[in-house]
Amino acid sequence: MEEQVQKQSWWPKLVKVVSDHPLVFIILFFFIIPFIMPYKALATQIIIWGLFALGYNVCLGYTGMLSFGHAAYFGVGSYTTGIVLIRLWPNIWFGIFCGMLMGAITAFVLGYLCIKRRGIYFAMLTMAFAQLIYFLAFQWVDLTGGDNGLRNIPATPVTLFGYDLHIYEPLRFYFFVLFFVILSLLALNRILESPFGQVLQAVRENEPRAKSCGYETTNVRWLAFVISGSISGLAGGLHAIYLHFVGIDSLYWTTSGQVVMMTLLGGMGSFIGPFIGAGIFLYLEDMLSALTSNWMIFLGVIFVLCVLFFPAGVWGTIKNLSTRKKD
Amino acid sequence: MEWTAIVMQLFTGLSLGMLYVLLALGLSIIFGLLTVVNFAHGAMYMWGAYAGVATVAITGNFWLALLVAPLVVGGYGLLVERTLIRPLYGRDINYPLLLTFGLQFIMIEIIRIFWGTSDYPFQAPEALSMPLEIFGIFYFPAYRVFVIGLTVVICFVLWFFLERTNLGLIIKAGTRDSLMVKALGIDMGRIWWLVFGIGSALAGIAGVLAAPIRSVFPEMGLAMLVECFVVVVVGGMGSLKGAILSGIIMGEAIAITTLFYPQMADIVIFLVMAVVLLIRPSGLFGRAGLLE
Amino acid sequence: MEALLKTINLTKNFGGLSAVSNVSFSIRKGDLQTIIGPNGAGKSTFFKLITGEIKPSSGQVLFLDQDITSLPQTKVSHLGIAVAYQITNIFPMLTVLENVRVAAQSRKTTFNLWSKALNHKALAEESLAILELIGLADFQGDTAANLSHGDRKRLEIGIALATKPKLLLLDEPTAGLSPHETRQTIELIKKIAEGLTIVLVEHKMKVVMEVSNTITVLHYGKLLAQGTPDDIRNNEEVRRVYLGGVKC
Repeated sequence: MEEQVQKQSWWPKLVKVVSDHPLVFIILFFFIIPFIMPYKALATQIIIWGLFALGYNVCLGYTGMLSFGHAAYFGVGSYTTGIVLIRLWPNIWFGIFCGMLMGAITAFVLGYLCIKRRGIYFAMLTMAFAQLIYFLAFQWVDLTGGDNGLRNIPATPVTLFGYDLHIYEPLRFYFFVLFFVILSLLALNRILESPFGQVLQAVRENEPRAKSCGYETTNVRWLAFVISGSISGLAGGLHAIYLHFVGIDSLYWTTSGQVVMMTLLGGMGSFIGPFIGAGIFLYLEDMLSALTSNWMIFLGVIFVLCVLFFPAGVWGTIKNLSTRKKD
Repeated sequence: MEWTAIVMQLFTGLSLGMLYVLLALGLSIIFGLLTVVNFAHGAMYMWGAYAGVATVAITGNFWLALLVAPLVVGGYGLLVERTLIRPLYGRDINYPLLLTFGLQFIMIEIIRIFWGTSDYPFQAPEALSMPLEIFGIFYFPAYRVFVIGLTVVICFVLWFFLERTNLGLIIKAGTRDSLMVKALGIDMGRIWWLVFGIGSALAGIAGVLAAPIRSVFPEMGLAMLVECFVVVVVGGMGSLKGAILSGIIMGEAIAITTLFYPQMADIVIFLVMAVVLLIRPSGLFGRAGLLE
Repeated sequence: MEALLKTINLTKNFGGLSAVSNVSFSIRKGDLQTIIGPNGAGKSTFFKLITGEIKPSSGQVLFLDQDITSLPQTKVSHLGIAVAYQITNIFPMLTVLENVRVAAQSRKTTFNLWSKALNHKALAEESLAILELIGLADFQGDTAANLSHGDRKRLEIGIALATKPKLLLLDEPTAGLSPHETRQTIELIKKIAEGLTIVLVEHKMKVVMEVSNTITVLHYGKLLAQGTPDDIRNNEEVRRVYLGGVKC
C-alpha cells in the first residue's frame, strides 16, 4: 500500500517536470539515444525525422492543419541541398541554408493555393500539390536524376578554425545534426512563446473567434505553414547529407504519410512527441525489417490501434494518465 | 497528326476517365454521407484487381471475376465500417482519414505476403480481345468499349437507385442533412454501413476493370488514390455529377497530353486542378464551405 | 447628437427568406440600446451584418460616418466594433488569462515572432484589469474549458472588451444563467456601459428594462418600434406581437 502511494506520487511528478521543461529533457534525451540505439546512424536518422516531425507539428499540432503534403518541403529541401553541393558551391552550411530556404519558398507558394481551404479539403489539396512536385522532379532528370535519384552528393569537409571536424564519422555526424536540431528547437520554442505563437494557438482553438478579434487568420496560418515548411526543408537537407543521396521517394506522398504517422504516434502539440514518434517508428522499422520484409504491416497495425485507442499518442497518453491519477 | 489518331486517343482517354469516374463516385458517395475521406480507397481498388486475378486463376472465368471483385471488396468495406470506422464517429473528422491511411498499408502488405511484389499479368477475356471496327476507320479495342459501356450502366443503376428507390432517397437526403433524416426516425447507422459497402464495391469493380489495362501490383492504388482525390476536388466534394464530369475531363486531359507532350502526362491533372481551384474554389459542382 | 453606428435599409435574404429587412437603426455615442424581438426575429443576423461576418443583400452600415458595409470582419474589428456571442465562443484550451491577452494583443501585433509574449507587461496588466472587471481574476490560470457556464459567458464579454471596442455588441449575455449570475452580469453591463456604447440583444425583460436607455423592437426582420423602456412598455403594437399582452 505504502509502495503504491509512493509510486503514484513520483510518476505524475516526473511527467509534470518533463512537460514543464520539455527543452531540458529533450536535449538530455538527445545525448543518450546514440548510445542506446543499436547503431549510431539509426540515432541520426531518428533526430532528422524527429526534426521533420517537429516542423510538421507546427502545422498539425500547433495550428491544427492536417497537411498530407509535407514530403514536398522535405524533398525539395533534400534536392536543393544536394544540387547546391554538387553544382553550385560545395559548402555544407550554404547547402543546408539553401535547402531550408527552398523548403520555405515551396511552402509559401503551395500554401497560397491551399491555405484558404480547411480540414480534409486542405489535406487532399496539400497532398495533390505535393504529388505535382514529385512528378516534376521525376521528369526533370537533368536536374534531379529522375527515378535514379540524386547521386554522389560530396562529403564536403567542415572546418572550425582551420581544424577539420571529420563529421562523417557516425557519432560526430550525429552531433553535427544535433546542432541543427537544437537550434531549431530553441528557435521554435521562442516563436511559440512569442505573441505570434499565442495567435497560432488561438487560431487552432477557435479560428472564427480569432478572426472576430481582428486577426487575419489566413495569413497567420500561412506563415505557420511556411515556418513548418522551412524546418521540413532543413530536415530534408540534413537527410541528403546523411545519405549522400536523394531518392525520388522522398517526394512521394507516402513520405508525407510517414511524418503524419510519426507525429501522431508520438503525440502532437508537444516538442517531445515528434521525437518519440520518430524514435518508435524508426526503431521498429529497423528491428522488424531484419525479421521480415513485410514489416510495414506491423507499423500499420500499430498506427491503426493508436488512432482507435490512443489518439493522443504515446506522450499525450502518458501525460493524460499521470494527470488522471492526480485527481 | 492524323485526326483519326486524335479520336482514338480521345477514346482511350474516355476509358481511363471511366475508371476515375467509378473510383471518384465511390469516394464521393462515402464522403458525402459519412464525411469520411477513405484513404484506403486506392488499396481497395488494388484488392479488386487481385480479387479478379484470383478468380480468373481458379475458375478461368473473367465474367465471374467481374462479379466476385465488387462482392469481396464491398463485403470487406462493410466489415471495415462496422469494426474500425464506426468507433470513430463523433470524434474529430480527421481520425477516420488517418485510420484508413494506416489501413491501406496493412492491405498492401497482405497482398505482398500472398502474391509477392511483382506485376501480375492479367488478360482481357477472349471475347473482348479483338479490336472493334467502326465506320471502317476506327479500330477501338473492344475491352475499352466494354469498360465504357459497363461504367455507363453502373452510373445509370446508381442514378436509378439514388433517385427512384426509397433507400436511395434516404441516402440523398442524408447527404444534405443527416440530422433531419435522423429526426425522421431512420437508423442512419445502417445507411452509413451500406453506403460504405457500396463505395468500396465501386472501388473493387474499378480495380478488376483496370486490371487488363493497367498492370496489377501491390502499390497500384497509391498513385491512383491521389489522382482520385484530384478528380473529387475538381468535381466538388460530395457531388456525384461533379465526380462523373471531372473523371471524364481528367481522363481526356491525360490522354491528350500523352499524345502531344508525354512528359507532362502525369502532371497535367494537377495543373487542371490548380486552375479550377483558382477560378472555382469549391470545385465544379461543390458547395462552398462544405465541411471546412 | 451624432450617431456612432447607423444602418440604412439593411436587408439580408437567405434564399426566399428575409432574415433582416429594411432595418434602419442608429445608436448615439455613450448610449445603451437593446434590441428585442421573438426568436428568429433576425437579431443575431443583424449583428453579423454589422461586424462584416456576412454581407447584406442591400443597405448600408455606417460607423463613425464611414461606410463599413463591404469591409471584411477583421477590418471592422480594428475600427472598434466587438461582439460577445450568444453561443460562447472562447479559446477552450487556453487559460483564462491567455484568452483575454490574445484578444488584447490583436490591437498591437500579430506577426511578432521573436519576443516573449510573457514579457509584454502592458498587455498583461491590461488583461488582468479586464479579468478583475469581469470577476475572473482568481481563475486566470485555469483552462477556459473548465469554467462554469456563467463564467464562460463573462469571459466571452472579457474577450470582446479586450479588443478595446468603441461599440460593443452583446448577444444574449444572460442566456442560461442562474438568477444570481444574471444579477452579476447586469452589474457588469452597467459598469462597462459607463465608458462604452453598447447594443444588447436580450430576452429577459427584467434585464432589458433595467439596463437600457433605448429599446428597439424587431419583428420578423422588420423594425417595429423604437423608444425608451417606458415608451415600449406602453406601445400597444409591441405588447400585441411580442409581450403577448402580458404586463411586465
